[in-house]
Amino acid sequence: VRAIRYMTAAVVAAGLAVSPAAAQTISYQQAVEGLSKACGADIDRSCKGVNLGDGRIFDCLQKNSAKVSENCKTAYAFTAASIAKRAAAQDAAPQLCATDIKRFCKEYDAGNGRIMRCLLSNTSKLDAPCNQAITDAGWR
Amino acid sequence: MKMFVSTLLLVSAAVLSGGGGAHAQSAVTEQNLVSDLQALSNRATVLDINKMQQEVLVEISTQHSEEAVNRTKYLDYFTNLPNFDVEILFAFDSDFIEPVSYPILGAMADALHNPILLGDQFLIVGHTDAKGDREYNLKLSQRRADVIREALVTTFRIAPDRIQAFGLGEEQLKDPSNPDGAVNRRVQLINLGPMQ
Repeated sequence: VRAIRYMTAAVVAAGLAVSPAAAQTISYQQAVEGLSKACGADIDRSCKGVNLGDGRIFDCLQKNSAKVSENCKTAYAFTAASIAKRAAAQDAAPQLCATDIKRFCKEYDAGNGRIMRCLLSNTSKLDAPCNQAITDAGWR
Repeated sequence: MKMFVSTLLLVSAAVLSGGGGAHAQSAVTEQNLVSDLQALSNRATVLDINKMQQEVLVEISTQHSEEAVNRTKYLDYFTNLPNFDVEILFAFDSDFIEPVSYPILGAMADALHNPILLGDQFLIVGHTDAKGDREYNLKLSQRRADVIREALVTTFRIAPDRIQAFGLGEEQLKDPSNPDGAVNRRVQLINLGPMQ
């Protein structure tokens, strides 16, 4: 939760409007690509020793924003927003897929990814919001 | 030449067992990881990491040769499970992940969220080269494995009960004929099988 709060703050600070209804999320690998490429020097200068875990790197870059390059600011805001979008989809999926789970996957026990695999094997029959949430969550 | 031969042997052993190692690290993708890490059976491997940590520490303080830490118990054992050698760069003598390694961390996270691996538990094993004190290296590799786990669990939202972290220091070199070589500094991602 803390990480998400920092990410949201970072996005707002960078002045980027993020619509919750915005299109499909990108993978985690793609999401961190920009941060990795554009912020290496800034992290070296202002956040040496600070790791990615728990949103600390976003927090640090934001705290040092006076010294951080514009390129990096744009990049980390995009990274943080992408990760936050993915998190939101992961949180929303159980609710958005509840009806489909009842409809198609009643006989599956929760855990071990069984329900997710059941949903995926019924992809063509799922409600659109459930399908979209699974995609945005990075679960296919 | 000796070094070359032993590297070749290790690579072919990894390929035979379904493990990775043949991919250029800059190009590692979710798909590479998922296909190499896919569970081969429904067997779950249950490990007591605290106990393993204690055992290695005892072996280090009582034995004076690096080969004394049982290779079959750890490295060879892990190599028989679906595994992938990941090159994550850390700052010298530190658990600070160099930002250039963020994308591979992201790819690891993508793979762990993939439905094929979603029901499985994983072990992150950290290794150092042989430079420096053995016990120090053991602790450094544990801290490094821990920060990778932390990033996966927090930033990338992998369920905490799906990943454990274990540092092996310099005890299980990838290339024992070249103990100080960079090839030894690596992180293994190992599929321990279905969640219990």
